[in-house]
Amino acid sequence: MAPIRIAHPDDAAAVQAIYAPIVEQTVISFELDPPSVAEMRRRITYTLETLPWLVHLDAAGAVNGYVYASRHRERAAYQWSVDVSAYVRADARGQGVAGRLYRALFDELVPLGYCQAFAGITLPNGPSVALHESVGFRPLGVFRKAGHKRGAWHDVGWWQRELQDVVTPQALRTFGGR
Amino acid sequence: MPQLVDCTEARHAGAILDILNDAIVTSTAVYDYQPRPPASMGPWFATKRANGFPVLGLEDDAGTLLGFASYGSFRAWPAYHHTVEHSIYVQRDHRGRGHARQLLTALVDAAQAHNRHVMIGGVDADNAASLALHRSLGFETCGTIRHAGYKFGRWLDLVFVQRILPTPAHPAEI
Repeated sequence: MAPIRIAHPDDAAAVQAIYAPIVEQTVISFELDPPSVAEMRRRITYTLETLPWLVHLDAAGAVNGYVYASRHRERAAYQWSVDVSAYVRADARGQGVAGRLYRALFDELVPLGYCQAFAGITLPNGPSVALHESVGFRPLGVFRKAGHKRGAWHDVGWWQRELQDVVTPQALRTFGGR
Repeated sequence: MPQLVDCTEARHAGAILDILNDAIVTSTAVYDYQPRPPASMGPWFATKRANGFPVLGLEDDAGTLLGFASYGSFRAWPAYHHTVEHSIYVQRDHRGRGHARQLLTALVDAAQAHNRHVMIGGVDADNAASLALHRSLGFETCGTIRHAGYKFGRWLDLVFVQRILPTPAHPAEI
């Protein structure tokens, strides 16, 4: 056991418990209804077929944060770009958990061949902006009124982090999940 | 066939910790008394990452980590930049099959790729297998620090071995 490991479908309950309050109580996620544990299990399993999904453990070995990558867009020329997301349990925030998760995620994405990572942040969110910039993200721009939730329109800022600078990208490798 | 891999925290921290802690509590290969907590592996990988120190692993076909090798700073002062101190660990059930040789050979290659100049191993004087391995791969004995450590109720002698690499082509003060 170590603080960061590859997620397992059985982490779905812990992951759902972290994510559901963020969906229900904030505009950080643009989902309107919290996904079920079964749905989170499906997402973890689906992601791990090709891309990394990592979890961070607390001192007792329970999942207190997670990070994953997804395809940035479906068109083939985008294939070397990923979107990334990290979520941390309320009691574990402000301790560098998300930063460690992101660095570990980058360590997985680079050897697979991915070149650019993007992250969307519902604005304003100072702590999230600071976190992303601390691990190398740079601001790109703002999608204004990109979503409507909890009775208001919300802007989404996008940040980019270069994973590797290559002239000719190589064929992507699948994560394999082990 | 065992396969060389670059270790990452997410994939290998747990297995590395298990191998390290077994060596700590059962041997004089590490001059450390207490097993390290899982939380130590985050900073361990962060230091490797920040300094460009490779962490090489050897996995079997099922992805089980058989052993690993890495290096770190020999001493912190800037003029030591080109010198690194390495370590190699093989899981106890997989020793005696040449895995350490494969790991150390790959680590020497990595050190050259990173333009290091001197590799140093600190080997417990009782670790005949490690001393023989290093000699066979061109490491020379620098000397022995007698009574360098104390563990299991006795003084431990530490043998330093070194190998000078042809790199870097153009050394500079960093």
